[in-house]
Parts: sequence; C-alpha cells; structure tokens
Amino acid sequence: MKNCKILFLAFILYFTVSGCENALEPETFDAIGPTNFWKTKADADAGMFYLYGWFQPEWGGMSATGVPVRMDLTTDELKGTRNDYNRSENFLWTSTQYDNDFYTEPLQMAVRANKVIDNLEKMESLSADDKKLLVAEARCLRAWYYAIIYDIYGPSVLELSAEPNIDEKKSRATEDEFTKFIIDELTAAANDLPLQQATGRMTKGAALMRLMKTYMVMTRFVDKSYYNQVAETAKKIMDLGYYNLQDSYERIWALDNEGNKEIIFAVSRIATRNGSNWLAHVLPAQYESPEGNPLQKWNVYRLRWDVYDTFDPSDKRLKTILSKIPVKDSQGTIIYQDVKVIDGNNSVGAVPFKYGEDPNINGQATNYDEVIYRYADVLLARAEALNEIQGPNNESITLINQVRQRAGLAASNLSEFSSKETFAMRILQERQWELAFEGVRRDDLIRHGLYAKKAVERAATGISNPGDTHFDRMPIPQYILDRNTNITQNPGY
Amino acid sequence: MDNKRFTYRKVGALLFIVIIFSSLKMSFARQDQDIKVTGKVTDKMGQPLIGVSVTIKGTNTSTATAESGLYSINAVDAKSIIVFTYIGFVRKEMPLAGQNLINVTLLEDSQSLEEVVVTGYGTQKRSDLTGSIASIPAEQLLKSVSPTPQAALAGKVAGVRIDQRTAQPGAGMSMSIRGGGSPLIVIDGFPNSGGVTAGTGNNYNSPSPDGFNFVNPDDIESIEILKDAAATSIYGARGSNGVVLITTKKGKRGKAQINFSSKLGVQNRINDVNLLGGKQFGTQVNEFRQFLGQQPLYENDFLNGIGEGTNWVSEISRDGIYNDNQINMSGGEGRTQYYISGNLYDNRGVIKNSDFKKYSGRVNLNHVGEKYRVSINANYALLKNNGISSNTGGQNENASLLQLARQFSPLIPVRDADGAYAINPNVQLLANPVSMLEVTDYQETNNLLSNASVEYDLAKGLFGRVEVGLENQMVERSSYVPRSTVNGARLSGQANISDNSVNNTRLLTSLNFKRDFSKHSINSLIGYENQSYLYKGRSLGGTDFPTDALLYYNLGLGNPETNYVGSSQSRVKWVSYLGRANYAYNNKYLLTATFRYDGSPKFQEGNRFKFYPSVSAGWRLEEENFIKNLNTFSQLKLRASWGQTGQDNFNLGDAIPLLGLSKIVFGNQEYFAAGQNNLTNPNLQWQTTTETNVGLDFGIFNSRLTGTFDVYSRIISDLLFRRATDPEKGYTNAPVNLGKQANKGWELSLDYKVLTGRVKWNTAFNVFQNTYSWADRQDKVTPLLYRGENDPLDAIYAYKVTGVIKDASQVPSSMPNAKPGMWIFEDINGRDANGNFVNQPDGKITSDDQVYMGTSQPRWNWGFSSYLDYKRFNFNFAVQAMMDRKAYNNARAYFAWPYRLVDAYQNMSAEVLERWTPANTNAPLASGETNPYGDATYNSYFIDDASFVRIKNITLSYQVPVKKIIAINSLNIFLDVNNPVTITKYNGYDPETGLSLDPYPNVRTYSIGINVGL
Repeated sequence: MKNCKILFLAFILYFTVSGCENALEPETFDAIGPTNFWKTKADADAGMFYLYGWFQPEWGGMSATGVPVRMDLTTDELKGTRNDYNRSENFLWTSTQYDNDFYTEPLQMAVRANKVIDNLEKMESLSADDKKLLVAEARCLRAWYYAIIYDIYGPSVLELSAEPNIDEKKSRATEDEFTKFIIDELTAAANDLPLQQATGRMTKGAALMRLMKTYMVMTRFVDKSYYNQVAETAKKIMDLGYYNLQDSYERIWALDNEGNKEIIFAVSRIATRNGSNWLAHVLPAQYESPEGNPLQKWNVYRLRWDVYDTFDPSDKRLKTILSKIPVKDSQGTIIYQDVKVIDGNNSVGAVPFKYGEDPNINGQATNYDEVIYRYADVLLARAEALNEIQGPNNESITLINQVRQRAGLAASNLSEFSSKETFAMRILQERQWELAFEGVRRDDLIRHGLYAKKAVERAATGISNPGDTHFDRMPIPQYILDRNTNITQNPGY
Repeated sequence: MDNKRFTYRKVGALLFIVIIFSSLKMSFARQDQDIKVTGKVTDKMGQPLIGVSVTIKGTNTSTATAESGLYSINAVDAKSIIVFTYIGFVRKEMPLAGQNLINVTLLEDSQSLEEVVVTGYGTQKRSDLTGSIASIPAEQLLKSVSPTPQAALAGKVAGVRIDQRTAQPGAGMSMSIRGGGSPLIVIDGFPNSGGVTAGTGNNYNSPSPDGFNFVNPDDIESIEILKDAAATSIYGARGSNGVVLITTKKGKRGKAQINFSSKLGVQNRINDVNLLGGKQFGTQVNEFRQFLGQQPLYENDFLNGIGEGTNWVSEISRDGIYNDNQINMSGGEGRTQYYISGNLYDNRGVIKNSDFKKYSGRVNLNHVGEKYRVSINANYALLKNNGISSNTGGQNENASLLQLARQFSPLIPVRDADGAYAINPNVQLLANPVSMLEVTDYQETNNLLSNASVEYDLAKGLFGRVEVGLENQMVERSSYVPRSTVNGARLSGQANISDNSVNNTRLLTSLNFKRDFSKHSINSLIGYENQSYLYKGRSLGGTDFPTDALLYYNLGLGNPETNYVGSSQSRVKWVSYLGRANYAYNNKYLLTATFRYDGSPKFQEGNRFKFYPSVSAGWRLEEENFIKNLNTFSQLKLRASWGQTGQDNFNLGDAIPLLGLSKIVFGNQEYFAAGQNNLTNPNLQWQTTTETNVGLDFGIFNSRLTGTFDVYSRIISDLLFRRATDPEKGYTNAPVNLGKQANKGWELSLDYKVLTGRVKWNTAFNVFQNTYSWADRQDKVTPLLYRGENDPLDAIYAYKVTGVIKDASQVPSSMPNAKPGMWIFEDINGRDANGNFVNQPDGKITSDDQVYMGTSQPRWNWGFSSYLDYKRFNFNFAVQAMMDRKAYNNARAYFAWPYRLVDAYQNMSAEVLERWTPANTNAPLASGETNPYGDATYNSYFIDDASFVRIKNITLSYQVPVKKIIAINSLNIFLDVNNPVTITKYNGYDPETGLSLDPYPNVRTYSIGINVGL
C-alpha cells in the first residue's frame, strides 16, 4: 500500500515540478510564418504579387467598377439608377460623408510595397535579372497607388520606410515632392520593365501610361507647361512601336480578342476566381439574353441620354452603348425594345455595354478582362497636349482622325478650328465619345476647369457656383485628419 | 526545442521527488500498535456506511469502513478516542474505554450539506468563504424552456446578466458577470472550451446553437458563480470575466431511485412589427410616387379587390411545439454510487424549418475506498438543428427569410399561375419568402465530455488528486440552396458541408492539505494544470448541380471548376501552476491567498508566463460577543478581497507576422500571392484585471431575512487592443497593450422567508448596477472626437433629431440643401478655425454632431422570484428586469422609412402613415426622401428605450396523493407559462431578442408536465 502511495505522490510531483515549458512553443499549422518565406523565386513572385491585391477585387478598387466608374459618376457622363451615389452625383460629398474612400487602401498598399521592395532587395537566392524585374514591378505599383491618390485627393503623406514608426505623425508631402516621387519612380520602373508581360502585370507601356496620366493631372494642379511632358510621354509610348488601334472599336473588349495591342493595361479576370461583374452592374432587369445565358441584372448605372444624344447616329462606337435591349414579348420570343420605353418617365440613360455576355458566366462573374488604359487615349492625349502647346496643328488633327476613321466618321480638318479653345473643346468631346465610361471624364473636366460648371448645368444640388474649383479635389476623410492632426485638409472643405 | 535543457529539468524533478520521498517516509513511520478495535458503522436506518473515515484522535492512525460498514483499527492505548467522520454526517467521537468492539450510528447532517460551496479546484464551507461566490441550488434555477443551462440563471443572480440573443430554437445566450465578456464555464471541475461553430458556406447563416446545449439542465446539482478576484484568480488568464462552476448530480446512497418527467408545450409568436396590409400598401406606394412626381403604380380597382393581400409572416409561421423528457436513476448501496440520466428534448420553432433536438445521456460514478476516492463523469450529447436562412443586413437576393417575409409586397401571391413561386416583377432580385423555406441548413453536433479523478490519502489531512479530462465537440453543418431561390437559380444549386471540431484535453495534478489544529484550521492545495484546445476545420462544397434532389449528399456532381475544399487547424494551450491556502482562526477570522502562474504560447519568449495572485479576508462578526449581544444578527460576515486575473484573448498572428495567402490572376492564369495583412507586435503582454471587492453577508430575524451586499472595482490594464493607426503606416490598426478601463458596480441580493408555517412563502430579490468606462483613455484607441472621455464603453451616439422641416421657410441654415419633409438635426458640436473639435455649434451638420444617447447595456438590473407552498400545491414565478437601456431599433427604422417604397416596392410598417407629406406637414416622421445631412435613419428618432420588466415564468404544480398506486413514490403534475408578460416601451419586436433587423420572433410557451418518482 505504501508503494502505491509513493507512486501516486511521485506522479503528482513529477508533473508539478517538471512542467513542460517547451510545450509552449507556438505552432502554426495552416499559415506561413515569417521565418520560412522570402527564400525562393516562387516566394519572391508571391510576395510581389500581393501588391496587385487592390487591382483585382471582384468590384471596387482599381477594377473597372471601382475608381473609373465611381469617378465618372461625379460627372455629366454616368448616372446611377438608384440613390446609392447621390452624394457623388450631386456634389454633396464632405469630409465625413462620402460614397468612396479611395484614400485609405491605396495608401496602405503603397506603404506595404516598401517592405516588399526591402525584402526583395535583401534576397540572396534571386538572380540579378529576376530581382531587377520584380523590384521594378513593385516600385511601379507603389508609384501607381500614390498616383491614384494624387488624381483624387492630391498629395498624401509620403511614407517610404519598410518599418514605419506608427507613432510618428507626418504631414502631407508638398505638391513638388509628391509628384517628383511618382515621376521618378515610374520613369525608373519604365526603364527596367519589359515591353510585354502576362495581362494584368506591369509593363514599360503601363508605367509610361501612368506617368502620362499623372502629367495630365499636373497641368491643372502644378503648371500648364506639363503639357510638354504629356506630349513627350505620349510620343514615347507611340515610339515603343508595340501598340496600335484595333480595326474594330467594339472588339477592343471582346473575349476572343483579349491581350490585343490596343490595350496598355488591363485587369485579368477568371470567372471562377475574380470574375468581372461589370455586365451585372449595367443590365436592366428586363434584359433577356438572346443566347440564353444565365445573367445577373442589377441595373446600377447608365450613360446619360444627354451624352448619348451628342453621338453621330452613324458613329460605330454606339455599338457599345445600348439604347435598345433584348426583352421577351408576351409570346416569349426575344424582341429589341427601346430602353426609354422600358424605363418609362424616369429613364436616365442608355446601357453601357463594352463588356458583353459570356457563356461561361459564373453567377455574376464573367471572364472579360477589364481594360483600364488603352492606346486611343494616348493618341488623344498627345493631340490635346500639342494643341495646348502650339494651338491647332496638323499632327493633332491626324491623331484625332485615326480615332474618328475607325469609328466610321468623316475626318476633321484643321480649317474647322479657329482657335486653341474651340479645338480643345472638340478634343474633349472626341475623348468622351471614344472613352465614355472608361474613367477619364472627371480628369478631363477638371483639366479644362469645367468640373464645377457641368455640375451646375445639370442642377447638382450641392453646388451653385460654376467657378467653385474646390471640388476638383476630394476631401481627405475626416478620420484621417482626426488621427493625425499634422495632415491638412484640401482647401474649401 | 531545447531537448537537453528539458532532460536536465526532468532529472532535477526526479531528484526532488526522491528527496521528498525520503522525508515523507520518515513521517509515515510510526510505532507498532497494541489494541485492535473493530466495529460497524451504520446510518439511522441501519444501512451500513462505506468509506467512513475512522481515526484515532491525536495520531496519524486512520482507516475507512469497508463494504459492509465494518472497520478494524489498532489503537494506541485503552484511553484512545476514535473519531468517525463522513461527508454529510455529523462527526462522532467514541472513547475506547477498554472495549474492542465499537458499533456506531452516524446521523445525517443536512445543515452541513447545504453549506458546502464548490470553489475553483475544491470545496469550502459557505461560512468560511472570503470571496464573492453565489451558489444556486438546482431547485432555485429558472424553469426555462431553453436547452442551455445558462438560460436557467436569467434574473436569478446579482451581478449576472443573461441576454437571450435570439429566440430561434437552441440558439445562444450571452452571459456576463459584472459587465464582463463571456465567462469561463467549468463543468465538474473541467474548464470548457465553449465549443465550435461552423458556417454554411453560402450567403445565409442562421445563428449558431448555444455552445452549452450539450449540458442537460436537469443534471445540474448546483451552479456557483465566482465573481471577485478572490474566487477567480486561481483561474488566472481565464478568470477575468468571472467563472461559472456547474456541478452535476452525484449518485445518492441507497436503493435505486428512478425519476421520470415530461413536459409538453405549445409556442406562439409574440411582438412583431405592425406591417401594412395589401390595399394600404398599394395606396401608400401610389401616394409616395405622386409626391415624387411619378405615375401611380397600382389601379384603384385592383387595390379594392386585393383586401389584406398575402400575409407573408403567417405564410412562413406555425405553432411551435416544445417537448422535454427526462429520466434518471440514482443509487448504489455499496462503495459505489451512480447517477445515470437521459434527456430527449425537442423544440419545433414557430418559423417553419427551424427546430432543435437534443439526445443526451450522462453517467456519474463515485467509488470510495479506504484511502482513495475515484470518480468519473461522462456526458454524451447529440444535437440536431435546422436553421432558417438568416443574414442580417443582407439585401436583395441575400436578404434573410424573416426580412423578406416582412418586406415582400403583400400584393404578390405565394405562387403564380404556373404554380411557381411568384416574384415581384419590379424587383426580380428579391426572392419569394416562401421559396426561402426550401433552403436547407442542418447542423449536427456531437459532444463528449468525460472527466475522471482519483484522490489518494497520503497522510493525515493530506491527499493527492489527479484529474484527466477530455471534451470533444464536433459540428457538422450541411447546407443547400436550391434553384427555387434567386441565389440558387443564379448558381444552379449551391451545396456545402463544414466540419469543425475542438478537442479539449486536460491534466490536473494537485496536493491538498486540510486539517484543524485546535483553534486553527487550514485548507490548502497546490497544483499543476495542462490544457489544450485543438481546433480543426474542413469545408467542401460546390455549385452547378444537375438536380436539387440530392442536396449536399453527392457533392461530386457539382461543377469541378467551382467545387472547393478547405481545411484549417490551430491550437490554444496553457501550462499553469496554481495554489490556494485558507486559514481560519477560531472560526472568526478567515484568510485566503491564491495564486496562479499561467503560460501561453501566444506570447513571445520572455512574456510567456504571468503570475496572478489574490488575498482575501473575512471576519465573522456574529461570533463576536458585541454582535451576539445585539441579538439581531444570526449571521454577519464582512469580507474584503484583492486580486488579479488576466486575458490572452488575441490571435497568434498578432504577435507573429503570419502571411495571408490569396490568389491573383494574370493572363487568365492563377498565381499565389502572399502578404502580411496585419501589423504584429512581438512585445505583447497579458492583459491584467485587478479587482477589489468588499462584501457583507447578513442574516436577521433568525435568518428569515438573509442577504449579501458587494461593492467592487475592476481595473483592466494593459488592454489587448488593436489601436487605430494611420493608413500611411500600411495598416489601419496594430495590436498593443494600451490604456486602462474601469468596471465598477454593486450587487445586493435578499432572501426572505415571508411565511414559514403551513403556507410556505419564500421570495428572492436581487439588484445590481455596473459601469464600464475608460480609466485612462488613449486617443490612439478612440479617435472619434464626439465621444466623451468618461462615457461608458457601450455608449450609443447618434444625430439628434429636433423635428421635421415643415416647409421651405423652416430649412435650418446648418442644412442649406435640406428640403421640407426631412429631419432637422441639431447642430451641437463643430470645429474651430483650426479644425479642432469644440463642443459648440459651427453652423454645419457633420459627423461631429453625433451625441451620447445612452447605453446599449442596462445601467441596472433586477430580478425577483417567489415560491409559495400550500398543502400539495406549489406556485412560483420569476421576474427579470433590465433598466435604463437604449437600443437603435433597426427594424423600426427600416420599416418606417418609405424611401424604399419607390425604390424597392416593398412593404413597411404602419408607422409610415405618420410621415410628412405636403398634405400632412405637422408629422413626427420624416418624408423618407434622402437627407444630405446627418443620418436619415440612424438617429435619435429611432433610438428606443429598450428597458423591460419580464415575467419569465409562472409554474403551478400539484403533488398527487399516490399512496395507493403501486410502485410510484411520487407524482407531480404542473402547468407552466414561459414569457407570459413583458412590460417595455420598445417599439415593435421584443426588447431582448429583437434588436436586429430580422430577428426571430420571440415566443410564449404554455406547457403541462408530469414528474414521476419510482
């Protein structure tokens, strides 16, 4: 019995005294820890690809249904069919009440890129070529995110540390610091990036395009003289000799024509992974697929009739804007009916239809790549820049006519334009016809000082003074200012 | 792992043990004995008592009675005194007086039985307690119709708030002790994991069943609530929210007793939003469209013929059925006692397709040997439930069944002319509510809880204890969304199976010492505990099925391109040392100290262990002559305690930078992407709660009135927090230890035996108050400037509505773009010229103008119960009340907001009739047009007083005289009403379960039952 007693006590004491501190090593069963990453080329790829995250959400972010559409909704181009975008459409946004926060996430991604670049550069197992490419791509993405913020809000804080001090409260970079960073980084990236990569990845053309876009914004916020850089960068893209206009306008977006040479940057989509739901956003409920495809019809936004009515009826570009849609009649056969008739009195616009039906649709998700930047924009930007520099000129006319001829329209003639201003307005109009609902309208109007004026013209309730230019920049969200009092608000908010 | 160091530790441990042995061996050694004494110990019925401790007074010599109550012991000399002690019986001393045969009869001590209170890792006499522990015996628990034991505490205990989150059958309760989060629940000494939940994998998720449904409330002997740090510190890092100790019934010595009871009830819906009928709805749609300059939608003739239209809520409802059957058997005449029980619980919900079933069984065995005691408790439960498709806040095709039923147009029939589910032609995305009943969401939970312990007497007053326990809970959730719903049609059927499990294993070893030395008594323990929760998850599913008929039974039929699989695994564990010492002097002065030393792998090395101490003292004033002389108090004890507990409730990924994996697409190919989605902090430490408690226990009028009063203060420091960071740091928050919160309150409970004669009437009342606020608020934590520094943490902030703009002349200057019919918001705060927040109007309505509206938790609570016995009748009822509590009435704001009329052609509540129209400018409710300022719906107008006083239960029972009926010892029949009366100002749904947009309707249950004893 005594042995039993001793054994029992031994058992208890053994555990009580020895314990098992080593049992407290942390275990990670289903996640990658920090110690076993950044070792191989595959790690380097995966770590860099992470920076593309904001380009590829199913909607929102930098995809076609994100920044481009949301910015167009503040202009005379797009109109929501519901109340969802009331603040955008009516210039009612304030620092506390707004439809979109495009400040927070791009800034976060830009800063996370610092660490990725740092890790890539520290890697020893990576070949020099691989490292150069991946670092260039990461730097391009970082500058791209900052450029998006610049387009919408102006300069933000410029944080370039891989391990930012979270208690440090920096103020916003100056206009010069901020744009210099974007320009330098994109220029450097353009030097190192290849001409061609898989759709959705950064290329030399994409970096130059983003650079040209930034120069265009700078013509309004820094100095008109940046039109020189716009013209020059456009020329660089043209001189790459890689891009051209497609013969058929509507086939730029076609599923079987993905990766065509007009596209400078697109978001690659797979229906079962990150499918595009542009189509679901625009289809009215009554739309019936002539091919019998299962469709989602959310009827969220339209191209305003005012814009639709400015098109020449013979303009081939109207093929991507539906004023009639297929519906079922009482016998169940498909007929084409006027959108205005279907909508009744409240019809706000035609159906934007650059992305068509996809037989392999998955729920609302289609396989259509979303075109973010394309070559026609480059030609029209150079045309505009040359006019701003030297007034109406032959090269500009030639550039515009390339676009017009594809649309099946008569060529314009230099003699039609008596002044820089009339030509500028004409180019602005041509840009809308060519690039409708592709996210250029807000920048175009701001560049020409027309953003507020157009809003007053369409009786947006939040604005009465057509000269009120403070709307040209969105307000920094108030919570950002509350967290960091060194950040100043944009004027007028 | 450092293997060498580990080995050295083990060797060291062994050496230590050897040393201890040798010293113990010496103390065990003793002289040879002379006189052999034998005898038999029986109870007053003459039944032998087994395991009675027989000791020679003043020596270490002891033994225990055997099977037949017989014992044999060697006495020192003829003058020895033999002491007989047995739990639950009065201790007896017998002088040897030269005899060799001593038979004794021990008398049961019912008094002492009641006074033993279960504490963490042991038991204690109530009179010895120095901490704040509430003990609720089974008969005082609430007679709830819920399958979870937590429901039985509602309104019963001062300091304990039970919130029923939803009325769905089997769904969860939320429990808070002194305003804290979910407490640790310990069942028969085994700390429980709280279970796991699983998702549906589709867009609908009904609330998960309660994690403690597997416990059969009828198995419960008592529930102890450990409230202050003196009681909870021994649970260390898991004790900071209080601890609930559930003790199940043990076998009773004697012949087998069988008890059978059955309850059967019906359930009806109570409290719902008052929706518009068909004609009223159509008329309102037309009116609102005219107001916006649009054509009316419905012809008058059509509306006149439609009447009330379809009542969608009725279409998906039914009478609920509640049925609870219990059987248990208890007994054991030898050294072994058993308690065996079975439970069959079935609740068919008032909404079609929702139900909950429980099948559970328990075996508790105790064996008492001469020097050892062994016990094993095992419980197995199988829980099955069907949930309805819910998805709070889901819109269009993702809207939940209950939201759809309330908002779907009453002008649409259930089925169209072809027999298909009719949908609203104007909003084709909205599913027909009845079609949503075809969504399957089935959960099956298997729960095994088993805990075994051995106690072994090592020396007088010293015994060792080893406990080994296992809890295994697995939830399998299977769901299918058929084509008859909008989402199902979109995906051609969607199926999913998710399996999640937790495997909770634990080892406890302890040494316990309990002894009295004349006026000193000591009760102490030291122990080691090792516990881990291993979580595993699997999910698989797909879409695009050829037929709806197979549900989720043949997932392989789905589209291989969209089928998916997933799995996960993680482990949480603790290694802990613990101890406690109670010391009492002269039964008057009590002192207790406890400690726990907790280790967790969530922290980086250096911060891994944390020490949690507590000290407490009690003074039994009733033993002092100056109190005795007052002749007033039968009981008077002053208590004070101080101690610390902690928390480690954050994720491993907060300390270690784990990479999130995702997929990215380039050129129509998928690639892996890996990145850090969160900021981490390697210096994270344990959150610490320091609690001070002062209490008074008293009894007057010869204990007819007894009560307890406690005041406490909890300071929670080094809060584990995700503080907001600026996005320019890459992330919007970072984990830190930051700031301090203070949780203060008081509790009073009173028991009063109003009548003690032929009519017995007992009442119990409790009231408590609790405030949780910042003690040291860091601006890093709460950057919302309109929040006051000292506001309670659960404060509600909203724009303050002062009225409706009657006409254009009344548009306030702070809201220049507002139109007649919109809310007027009060301009309260603003910014000065430098953009700094000031408590002064600035002529603008901005988010700064949100102001304090009250708190979502009740500022104070009370409960009242009453038991009345007269002859064979017993009548009792219980009340639960939550006072001074505000809530945003989601559903009211949603259904009274007619902008959805034109936008979505959907139904709304009758409250819209009070809205502003050009013809009715004196209206209290805004027109429903979108307001460019403030918040159209989240504002003071829709923040309701959600206080309530509720009679939870009324029971009337009758003890049928059964003398003549053979084989039946007792027969009880009873009538029971659950939730009969609720007094509240809350508008619409139930103030407790109805705070969300699409709550499950609360129910009232009428039941009858019998209870038979064999």
